[in-house]
This record gives sequence, structure tokens and C-alpha cells, in this order.
Amino acid sequence: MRNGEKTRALPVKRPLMTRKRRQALHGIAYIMPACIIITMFCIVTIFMAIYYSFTEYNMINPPEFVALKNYTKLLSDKAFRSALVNTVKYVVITVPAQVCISLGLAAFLSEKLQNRFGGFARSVMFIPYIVSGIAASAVWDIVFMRNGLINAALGQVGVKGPNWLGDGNLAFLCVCIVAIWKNIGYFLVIYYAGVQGVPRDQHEAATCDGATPLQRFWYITVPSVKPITYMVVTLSIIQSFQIFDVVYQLTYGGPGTSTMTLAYIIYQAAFKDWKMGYACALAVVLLVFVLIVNLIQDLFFKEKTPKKGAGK
Amino acid sequence: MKKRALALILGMVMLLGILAGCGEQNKPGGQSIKVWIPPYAKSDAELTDQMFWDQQFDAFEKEHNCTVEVEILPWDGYKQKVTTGLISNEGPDVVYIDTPYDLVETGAFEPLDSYFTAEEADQYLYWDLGQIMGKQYIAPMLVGNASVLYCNMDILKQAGFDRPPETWDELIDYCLAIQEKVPDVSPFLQNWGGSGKGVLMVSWLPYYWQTGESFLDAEGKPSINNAGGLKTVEFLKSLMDKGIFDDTITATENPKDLFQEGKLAMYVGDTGSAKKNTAAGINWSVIPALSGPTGIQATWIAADSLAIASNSKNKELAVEAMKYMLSAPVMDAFHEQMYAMCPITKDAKFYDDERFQSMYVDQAEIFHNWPAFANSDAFYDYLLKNMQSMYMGQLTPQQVLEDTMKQYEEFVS
Repeated sequence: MRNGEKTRALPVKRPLMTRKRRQALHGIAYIMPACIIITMFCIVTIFMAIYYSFTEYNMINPPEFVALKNYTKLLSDKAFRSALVNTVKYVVITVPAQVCISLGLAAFLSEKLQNRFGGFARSVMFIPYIVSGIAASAVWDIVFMRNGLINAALGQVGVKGPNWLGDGNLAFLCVCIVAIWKNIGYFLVIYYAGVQGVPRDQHEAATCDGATPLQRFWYITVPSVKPITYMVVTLSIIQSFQIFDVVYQLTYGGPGTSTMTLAYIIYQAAFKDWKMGYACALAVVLLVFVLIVNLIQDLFFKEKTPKKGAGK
Repeated sequence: MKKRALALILGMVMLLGILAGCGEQNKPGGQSIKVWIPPYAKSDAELTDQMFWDQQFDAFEKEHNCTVEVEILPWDGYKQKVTTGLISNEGPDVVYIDTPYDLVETGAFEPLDSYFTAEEADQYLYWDLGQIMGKQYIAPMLVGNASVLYCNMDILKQAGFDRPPETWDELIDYCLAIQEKVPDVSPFLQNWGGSGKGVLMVSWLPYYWQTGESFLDAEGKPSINNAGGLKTVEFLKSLMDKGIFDDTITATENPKDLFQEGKLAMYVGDTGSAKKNTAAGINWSVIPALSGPTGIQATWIAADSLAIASNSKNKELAVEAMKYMLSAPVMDAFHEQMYAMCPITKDAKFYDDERFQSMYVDQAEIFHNWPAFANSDAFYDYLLKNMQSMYMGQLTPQQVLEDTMKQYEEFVS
């Protein structure tokens, strides 16, 4: 460059997009397919169900607006009342059972079976979860039936087996047993990952201080996996409110109305009675119940779980 | 590397499988129709329903230069599948149906009157059973399979009887005698652990008709909360009160299995079970129906039919296929090879047990098919659940009738 010659600034070629924006667009592009699918099949369908719940619709003739008729009908529907009570009972029984059993098993496998057999045991316990609910229930039907495996075994030792599927209370218990058996494998895997993340030194220190295995489980493992428990409880509640396949295959909602659940009567109203509007009203009520329960649970956990970074 | 190659190959195989599944079947040309029908072949039969109907339609396809796609739908949820198929416009052209009223009411079926000449209609023995709301919407195809009382005569003889019971009172006397003299068998069982209306066709409706009461009122609506209904439910409850049933009755799905094992003396079941009962080595006898308190004999009979979808694009061809299926050669083959029932045309033969032939001919007046009314599935479901509740001690017979009627009225309101 010669002296006195003015330097002319080279034109700065500004990128069309900042790096940040480009990354954001990439992100949007990646999540777009999932967003579209979720919007179409989850969000839109919820609003469609809400719309149809105010109509009378048999899927053949066009829907007819009936305002709140389906909801007022719910109040006098004996089957709905039975189904609601049964569903709540079912949630109250199965959620704590699933959480406790899967956490207990996860802790046991993590502590005592850190070997090939433990891996095998985890895989075996996961199998019921991936088996179709209908197929699993068909097998359990053979176990519970009048002359089924359990009663035959009891008969061998001179005990008259109970009427598993013919007695209302026992049939309900059978549904709970099958559902718990089917789901614990899934929660076990989640818990197992959580339990593995608990620092070993805490357990070792507690052992040095003379803590028993039960105390270590109660005072170290359980508090450490609390965020996972929150997730497991949430998933378990949602799953339990939706129980259908086991009931459909094992008891058909009977005997009487003793094992009817909300999901079962929704199916019945929609696909047996062709009352799609009424079925949608039932589905909306079920959705509201699940939301309320999750809200309560959320409040409960938020209150007791310290915020991230608190105490620093 | 090997693992990757293996994964790639497996992935390709899976993809090919999926693509193959998506492909259209080879169609030789001409028009195409779909026929939906439930299975009748035994689970262990060499000749499946699919094979049977495909074989039968070979000649029809050649004659009409068309393709007939027969789909065998399982009995479980059959009506739901048919209804959704008809709604979606992807359903059948010709469809088998047992309780068609609701679908007729919604316009899902094509009236058949204009497709059959008077001469053709005259060939069918049960043509009038297809009349719904003043029109011929369905053509009866499988008529028979009545609910009859089977008796194990060896057990009855041990209890001191040489003929089946004929009345309600006799049935109870027989049961009590069997309990006393042959205590290791069940005297009589019903299938109250089952699901759907199939339970009621053997365990409730015959007894109701035996009281002489009509099922439908003048407006064509179900009406069972009457003296006959109460007698029926009280009689069925008395079977438990007298210890003939125990609390496992609400878990009993298939009494015929116990009958074929020689552990049950009597049950009401379909005539189609006769061959299996014989094959099981049971010395059985049968009466079509008990006589109720007023001396009336009555029982249920199947009259399942074929219908044409009103949204079929090939109605003419569908009707031809229907006529072909109902023709004597095809139905004779069906009765001989698949499931024996009554002949439906004047020129067809009877293939079932000869004891049933005389019964169907001589006592035709005792047989009743499903009463035709709106939302019948819901009604039967309420009745079944309430009967189960009664057997669990939660409802009285009067409450069973009242609750059923109330639930149904609320349902249709």
C-alpha cells in the first residue's frame, strides 16, 4: 500500500444467516416431523373429541349438536359410575404396587445381582411389557380359570381354589395382578438406570456407619431416585387410567360391572353401541381426571423436591 | 463389519416384506367384489373357511370374469369390523350378518326386492325372515343351529331317568337327583361367564319365550319387565338357590367342554355341537326345548344372512355372488364339509343329525330368531351384566328387569 493512499474497506460479506439462527432452523427442521405427527394425532384429535362430545354421532350419519346432553347423561349412567369407581380403585392399587415392586427389584438387582444373571433377570422381567396385552391376558385366563393352573395346583394339596374370575372382587384383583406383572418390567428398567446413578461411596459410607441394607435403601436409594419416581408415578398413573386390554380379554368388564373401567366403557360406547359422541364425552372426562391427578402429583412433588442449584 | 452387513441384510429383508405386503394382488381382469364372512370350520380342520370359499368361487370368477376377494373375519368383534368397514367405504360388497336391524336402519344395506324375482324368492325356504321394516334387506343363509337341551343319558340313567326332562320343574328334579346319586358330576350349567349376546341365546331367551311372553311390544321395542320376565329370572336364580349352580357360574364360559369330558349331565347348546359330543363318546340325547310354566315349548334358532352393502360399486355382481353362495350346490358343500345346518332352498339336502331334521320340520313353530329392534347389542349387554350381578347377590330378579329396561331406555333416549 502506498503512503497517502486511502485504504478502501473491503465489503464485508455478511452471512445470510447467523450461526445461531442456522442452528435454530436445523433444530426446527429436525423436530418438525414429530411436531406435525403429534399435532395431527394427539392435539387435533383431543379437540375433535371435545367437539364430538357435544354431538350425537354414530359414524354413519352426520354429527348432530346436542350441547351438554352427553355430559348430563353421564351423571345418571350406572355403568359410568361403576367404571369410575373401578378405575380409581385400580389406580390406587396398581400405581403404588408397580412403583414399590419395580424400585425394590431394581435396588435388589443393582445391589446383589451385578452379574450376567442380573442382566438375564432384567431381560426376563422386561418381556411381559413387550408382549401384547391381549396375548398375555389370554395366558392368564388359563391360569385363573375355574379349572386353571392355580386351582389345579391348589387342588393337588387338597385346597379348593377360589372363583378367580367369577367373583367380582377376585376378578378385579386378577386384572390388577396381570397389569402389575405386565408393567413392572418397564419401570424396573427405568429405576435400574436411576439406582445405578446413585454414588457408591454414599452406600459404602453408610455401610461403614453400620446401616443395614434396608436403611441404605430407605435413606439413600429412595431419596436419590426421587425425580425418577416422579416420572414413574406419572407414567404409571396415565397407564393405569387407560387400562383396557387386560379387562377386554380377561373379564369383559364382568362379572356384572365389577371390572369395568373408563377405557373399557369408552370402547363399548364407541365401537359396540356406536355412540361416538357419548364415547368422546367419556374420553374428555377421563382426560380431565388424568390432568387433575397429574396436577396434584406435580404440586406434591414440586413442594418437596429442591430446585436445581438450590443450596449452592 | 459382519454385524453391519447382517443388519443391512435383515433391514432389506424387512423392507421387502413390507413392500410385498403393500402390493396389490394380481387381478386377472374384470370387476372385483369383496365378501366378508365369519369362520365356521373347526379349529383343527384341514379345510379352512378361506380355502372352502376360494374353491367355491373359482367357477363363479371364471363365469363372470371377475375377482371375488373372500375375507374371513373372526367372530370376536365381527359386527364392529363389519360396521367400520361399511362406514369407511373400504368394506365388503356382500356381507354376512346376524343382527342386521341397526345397520338396516342407518341405510347401510341395499334392499334386495328388485334383484330377486318372485320365482327366485320362492325357492328360499326362509326368505320371509329377511323382511325388515317392510323390505327384503337380507337373504337368510345359515338357518338352524338351534339352542337345544343336551343330556348325557348314562348320567341320567344312574340318577334313575330314562328320558330327558321336559319341563322347568322336571329339570330341577333331575338336577337334584343327579346331585344326590351322581355327586361327582355337575347336573346342569349355563355359560354366564361368557360375553356378548351368545350367552343369552342359550341361557336366557329360550326360557323367556317358554313363558309365552312376547319380547317386543306393539311399537317394536323390547319389553321384558313383565310377569314372564320375572318368572324367567326367578327360575334361573332358583337354580343357584337350590345349589344346582354354585358361585363359579359367573366364570363358566363353555359348559359343552365339561359335557364332552363326561363331567356335566345337561346343558343347552347349539345343534352344531352334536358331532363333537358324539366324537367325545358321550351317549347323548336331546330335546329341542323345555316347556315353561304355561306348557309352551320355545327356543332360539340362528337365521344369519347375507346382505349387499348400499355403497357397493358392483351391486349387480354382488347380488349374483350372493345368489351363487345361497345356491343348493354351494350350500350343500358348505353343510357337508364345513358346518351342517338346515337347507335353505327347496332343492338342497339335509346334512345334519337326522334327529334334528325331524325337529326342524315337525316343530318349526317353537323356534325364534333374534328379536329385531334398535340398539339390541346394548340391550343384551345390559341384561347379561345384570344377570351376572344377580348371581353375585347384588341384584334381585325384579331389579335385573327394571335396571335392564331403565338402562336401555336411557341409552336410546
